[in-house]
Amino acid sequence: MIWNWSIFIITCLLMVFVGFWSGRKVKGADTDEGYLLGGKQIGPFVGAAALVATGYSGWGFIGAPGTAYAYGTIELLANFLYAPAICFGTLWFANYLRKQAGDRGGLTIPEYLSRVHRGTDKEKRAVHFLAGIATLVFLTVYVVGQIRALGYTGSVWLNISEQLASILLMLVVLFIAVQGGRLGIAASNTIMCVGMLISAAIVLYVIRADMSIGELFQRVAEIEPGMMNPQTSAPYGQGKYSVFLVFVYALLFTTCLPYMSSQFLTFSDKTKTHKVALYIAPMGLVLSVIPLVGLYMRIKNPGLAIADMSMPVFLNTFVSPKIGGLITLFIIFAMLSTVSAVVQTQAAALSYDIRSGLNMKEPKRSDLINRIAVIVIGVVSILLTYFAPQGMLNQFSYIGTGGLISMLFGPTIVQIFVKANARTCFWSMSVGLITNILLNTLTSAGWVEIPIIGAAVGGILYAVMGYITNGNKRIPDELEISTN
Amino acid sequence: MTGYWTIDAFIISSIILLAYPLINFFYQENKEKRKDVRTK
Repeated sequence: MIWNWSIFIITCLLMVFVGFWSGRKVKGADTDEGYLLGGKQIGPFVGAAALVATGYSGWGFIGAPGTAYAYGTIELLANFLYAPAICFGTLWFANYLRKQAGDRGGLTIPEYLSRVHRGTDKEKRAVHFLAGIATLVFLTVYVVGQIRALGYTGSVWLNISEQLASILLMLVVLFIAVQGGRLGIAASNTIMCVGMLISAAIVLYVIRADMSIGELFQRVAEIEPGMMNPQTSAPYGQGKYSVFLVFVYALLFTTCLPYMSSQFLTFSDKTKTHKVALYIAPMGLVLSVIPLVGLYMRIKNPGLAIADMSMPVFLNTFVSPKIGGLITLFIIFAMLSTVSAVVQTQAAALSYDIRSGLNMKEPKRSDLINRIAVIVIGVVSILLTYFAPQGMLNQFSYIGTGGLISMLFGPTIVQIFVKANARTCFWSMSVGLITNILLNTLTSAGWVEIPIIGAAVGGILYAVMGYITNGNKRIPDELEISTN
Repeated sequence: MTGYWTIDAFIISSIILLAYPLINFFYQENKEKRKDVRTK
């Protein structure tokens, strides 16, 4: 326990230093751009590491080995598919989003949407407000789940109550976000990503020291052949190859979710996205080996009552206490990196998007308002985690990030091909969200399929309505003339 | 082929994951070099 507390305190001090350092390093720290976009000075390595750390949350270390323990190699494939999705999503869409936001002046995804869609001031503000409020509400529910997991893991690791662990860890996140803004979060996420990669390497080393990966697969196949050659993609769908929908989901997750796609806007003008993708690929591949722990535990300890305990039991049984403590720290890192990016996006929605959407006056010290918003979001999230009725949270969490994906696919991705107006954007977002809610409440479709169907419906509406309102053209005459 | 379709899919996808960004990187870098030479 002394070891765990020691490495926790050292890490906290490191993160505090990163927060201070970023606050001093960022260009235009007292402006919205400096705070929300890290002064647009993020390079390829930090950009890649921040995206990977945010994309691979604590799920990759706890949930994925648990699912592999219960269902087999389908989870190895499903978890891996996030790597190409983040890599190709960056390669195909980051440059476009970054250039458009730069040309039109968007600091957040909701603002970007209001700027790239033509229309009256009122229509643009409606788009800005709807995207901002949806980002705030759905990410709040998402972050509550993350804080709960953080509190549980931290409490076991530090031998304190869940509430105290959540508060301590959230204080670290808030400090980095308040002091360093987006640059602080990207810098700390880079450190966290390196920690996650080291953990994956240690896990692989421990398993390989006992048996080769080929032997591991062979022994799993001997115990349960269906775990190696599954006939369905359960828990990702009933079709044999439904698991590949996870790639589509993760691609939408990378390009449509504001806490992921807003990171594209933080890249420096000199940062080449093909270089960012080059870093993402090996990082993602290394993190994809983590579910092997679940398969290994299936051989070594087939009687686990709770599949999600496979990683904790693995660390307690097969790894020395000091290394186990270090890996748990990195698992907490994985959760923190996602929470920090989400909290910052929520705070931007509260302090910037909703204010702009309601046409409120710009405050003199906008950076101060942004920092206060981060603290408000942190406090409210902790209070919701432990005091809000669970039933209410469950209602929203079913929609959660999937709802945002369904809403934002049309205006973010289909917009590249069809230049629709703000009114179309508003209706596409509304219909995408309503479709998602209906599918959640009326059907038994899974969490992978629902956002994809919702996004498809919203996207088709965006394309058709946009094409018609453009006078049966992909790009309206007025835009073609202005670009010529 | 390993005889397990999930592992085969994992291996093939891993090769694509590593090769595609690498090929794209060299293509883009060469394109920029050619552009630089032309502007000089």
